[in-house]
Amino acid sequence: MSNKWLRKTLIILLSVIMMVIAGREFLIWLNEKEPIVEGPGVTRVAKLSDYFADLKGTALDTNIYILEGEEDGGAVMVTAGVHTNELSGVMTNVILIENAHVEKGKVILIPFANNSAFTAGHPGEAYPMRYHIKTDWGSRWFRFGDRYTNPIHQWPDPEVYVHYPSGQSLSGFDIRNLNRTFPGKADGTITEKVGHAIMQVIEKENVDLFIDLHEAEPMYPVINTIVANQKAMDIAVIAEMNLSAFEGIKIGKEISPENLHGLTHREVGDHSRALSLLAETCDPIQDPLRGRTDEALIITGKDEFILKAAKLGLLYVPFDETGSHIDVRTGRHTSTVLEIISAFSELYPDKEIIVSDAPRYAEIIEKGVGYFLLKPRG
Amino acid sequence: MVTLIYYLFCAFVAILLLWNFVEEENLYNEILYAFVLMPFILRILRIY
Repeated sequence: MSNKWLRKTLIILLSVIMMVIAGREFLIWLNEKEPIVEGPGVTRVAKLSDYFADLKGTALDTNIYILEGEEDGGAVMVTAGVHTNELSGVMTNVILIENAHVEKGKVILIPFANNSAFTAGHPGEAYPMRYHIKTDWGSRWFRFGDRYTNPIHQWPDPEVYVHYPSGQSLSGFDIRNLNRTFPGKADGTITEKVGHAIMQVIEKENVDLFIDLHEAEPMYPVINTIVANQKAMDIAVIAEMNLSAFEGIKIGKEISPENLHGLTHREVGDHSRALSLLAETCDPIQDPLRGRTDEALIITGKDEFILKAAKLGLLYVPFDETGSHIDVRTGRHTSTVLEIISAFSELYPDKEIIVSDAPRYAEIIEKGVGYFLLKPRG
Repeated sequence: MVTLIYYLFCAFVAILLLWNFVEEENLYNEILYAFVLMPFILRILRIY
């Protein structure tokens, strides 16, 4: 072999080695999922594709954890991971899956609603792909993803996304935003199919109450709040009063705008019998003002630039040196979910839902999120 | 259909880069072509 071909062979070999190393990491990001322990209260684990077969075998199929009580009552669905960089909702779902018992009624939990978005990072944002929660026995890892479905799974974006069925025009990339594609479309894009599948679960499981958990950046006005469809406003009012009076959680409430389509609080309420609400906490990693973007920011929510903005009065939430820790955010969401369920049960006693063994805000802050995460087998 | 055209286009560009790599005599350009080829191959394999 001449020197020229020997050189070319060596260069190609080096490229292949680098491709294998990078490709292996990309494949892990695409396929590896965090272990979730089915707690003693879980009575069934289903898949989204069990309710809408088109999702079977796709990257967007996801687990549904169902906790059923011995007594009949109402049914509540709690979704998280609709936006996969808003993690306190995921933590709340996982804590409920691994700890809660349902005495009356049914609780349906979808912790990773947009499973594809968990496999992608937001371009240009330098997001970590994973984060770790310390526990008494070690640590648990979780995926940290993008706001949008991975373009590997849905491409290309249109110039303008026309929402179905309202016909409202939105930015082209919002066609991959699950919280802009409700109530979904059976023959639409894969993200619209997920919206449709969740609506199918709501219909087939006779869901009465729907809660979607999100987070927002501190400079965004819709934060630390409950957004309610008009049919669920009374529930939001009672939950807000009780959270403030009994747990010291200051939370706002607002009504879902009637002409802003595709969001869960609007479409689930309008296209099903379920009463729909959405809750937001404060998530500094999403704020464009933030500094270093790393796992510590995900967990502690401490950032010197956001702190400066707070001192200048630019934020919509109180923010100080303690940041916005994951324990605080998860505690807020968990108490909000439990209080919304309690308010619903108070207003609709024939559909009462009783959940026990779920920690609330003060307990989560005292013990930390990690205390409530079980050790996976193996 | 658009996705299929996109992947065919990626494969076409990858073949062009490979062809240039084979024809190239300059070491630095050879390394450049080999490195630029990598994301195209990973995209065709739907890994990246």
